[in-house]
Amino acid sequence: MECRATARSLSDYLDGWISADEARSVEAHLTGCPACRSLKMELTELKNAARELPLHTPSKAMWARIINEIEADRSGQWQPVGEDAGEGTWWEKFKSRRFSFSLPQLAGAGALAVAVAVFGYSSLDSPGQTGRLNLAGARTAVLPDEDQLIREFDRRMAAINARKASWDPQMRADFESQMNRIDQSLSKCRQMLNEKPDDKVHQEMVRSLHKEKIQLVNDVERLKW
Amino acid sequence: MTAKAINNAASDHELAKAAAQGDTEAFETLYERHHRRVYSLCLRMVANATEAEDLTQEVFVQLFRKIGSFRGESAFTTWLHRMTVNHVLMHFRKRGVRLEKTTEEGEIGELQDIVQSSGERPRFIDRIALDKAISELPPGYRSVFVLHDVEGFEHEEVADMLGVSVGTSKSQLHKARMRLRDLLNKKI
Repeated sequence: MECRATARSLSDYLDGWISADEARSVEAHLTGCPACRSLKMELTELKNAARELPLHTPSKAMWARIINEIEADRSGQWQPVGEDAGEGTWWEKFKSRRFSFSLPQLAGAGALAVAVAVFGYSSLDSPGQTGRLNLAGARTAVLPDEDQLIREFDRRMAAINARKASWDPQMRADFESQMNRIDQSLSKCRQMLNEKPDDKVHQEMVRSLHKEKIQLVNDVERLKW
Repeated sequence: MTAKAINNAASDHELAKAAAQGDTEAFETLYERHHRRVYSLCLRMVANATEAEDLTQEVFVQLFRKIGSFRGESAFTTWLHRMTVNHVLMHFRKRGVRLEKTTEEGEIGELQDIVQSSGERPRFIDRIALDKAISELPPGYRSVFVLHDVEGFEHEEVADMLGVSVGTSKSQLHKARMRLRDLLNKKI
């Protein structure tokens, strides 16, 4: 047996997928070939290492997002519709769609977003204003300590806003998608709290989601994006 | 004993039965037990943290909807992982990800790789470097490697899930291992 044939049989040999005759041929070749013996050791080590890979941890807000979706499902707020009714909620379907816009459409949307933001922030600063404009579902405090968390987030966000334009577009898209997801969950939790203001679980979720937003901005700051 | 402590002591099967009755605390305990493995599996298969988060979320929502159909014939972990793999593969199909087919000859210069071998001594493989190298594999090789070598599925199961022959699964696994070895040697 030559090296090329041995190399090709090595994975099957290590997994016990070859016949006894073939295994003997491989072993005979390995005895006299240091290069193939080394390859066998490397593949064995690779196979062992694959079973011991560390586990990764998703973001802390994951459970809040899941339970929100389940609760929404159960309360019938987002019933699946259409042909794929069993596949997911309308939000999942909306998320999975790919949209494309022309440059003028994007420019128009950008201008509108800036106008809304300017209007929103000026409304926040207006004296005598009791309510706050709900930007991304996170601006109207529903908990006594929520204002502090919102201010903390705004302060940190202001620090990175100036740099955001120079980020790699993929990074910016990832950041915004992550932030949007947290905001979606926050908005749903706050909606639940408006219905049941004493719900301790949702109160805790709102706090945890604010902290998640702050953590995300902290991570960006730490990585010096 | 608190409800949380009772849940922590319960088996996956008992928790699944409670969750099927609408007990979200039991479902949360299942989530706490399994979310890291589900997320790691998604992350290794799609090699993108944002997509992996979305998929993990979708898997657990789907799990809650389908948990009543878990009868306990197989281990809960096996059932959940199978559901996760199917969900990721469905995601690949929606995105039009092509799982590459390999020929018998293969495109990897195996002989050259043997010559470039790093000597006969066993070498410690850095798990973080291996994780990174897995993310650099083409999707087809990556799927087979993750399912067989990381998750421990048999070739018949991998072939069944990916809709390929057992021969293709074996061939792709070998090529994935050779590519990984190459990637890891380049990083040294």
